[in-house]
Amino acid sequence: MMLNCKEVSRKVASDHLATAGPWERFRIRFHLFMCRHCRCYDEQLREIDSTAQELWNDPSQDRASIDRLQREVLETLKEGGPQDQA
Amino acid sequence: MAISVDDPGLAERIRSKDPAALQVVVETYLGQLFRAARGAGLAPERAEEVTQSTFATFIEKAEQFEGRSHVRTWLFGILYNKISEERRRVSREREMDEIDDVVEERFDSSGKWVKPPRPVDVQLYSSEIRLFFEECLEKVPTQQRMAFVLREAEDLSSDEICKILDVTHTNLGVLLYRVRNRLRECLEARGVEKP
Repeated sequence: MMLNCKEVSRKVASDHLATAGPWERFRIRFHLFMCRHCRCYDEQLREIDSTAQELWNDPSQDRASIDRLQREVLETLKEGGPQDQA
Repeated sequence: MAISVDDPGLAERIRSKDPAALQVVVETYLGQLFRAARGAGLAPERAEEVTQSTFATFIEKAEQFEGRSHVRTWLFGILYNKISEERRRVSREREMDEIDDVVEERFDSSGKWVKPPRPVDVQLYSSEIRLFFEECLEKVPTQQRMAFVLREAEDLSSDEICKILDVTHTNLGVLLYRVRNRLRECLEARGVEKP
């Protein structure tokens, strides 16, 4: 009936909440509400996720390399397909 | 008329190597593939080579594209295979992973924390984790890292990530659990926490 900390931490870290049914969600949320250690763990994982999003999901990052690479690949296309297989 | 990567007729045009269709695919996904390769831990030059080679394979095998999955799924699948091919020689994803033991030791037999996570000031934490993030990711195996990149950077659905990495939903859960715990443990070991 009650989930223990190990189970909750496992569910939180494996994206289980996204697919869990309403009762399961409630059990996880209730545990997080009651348990400061699991809450702390959950907060840290959220920060880790949002840092990854900030670091990798920036369209301006590496813009010059991407534009150049795109020109090169499109150029190869015009020439009738890849000449040089890596 | 402008072509979109979601057009139902796109698969057919890709199979016939219609230059306009191939161009749309390149323009739509090249940046995403390059950033995913960087996120997977490749240096900029290697990421360029792998992205280029992914499109070379894509164009070469265009006739085989059946359109059963989205063209993006197909492209990321090619990219992932290329990255893991070269890494496989270095390290193979194992059934058991040392991070499982590290996490296991944090709990007692009834599943309660014996070594709880150290409390942090979340605001301070978020500014400090940026400093160590890349360093902490270095030791993460390719498949775990790729699962994390596709989830966080590309925001792909679980179904799509499973197809790209050729894993089940349960496996994907394990990969994400391991990479997030690796990062968390590594950051905690680096002292990213409230003094």
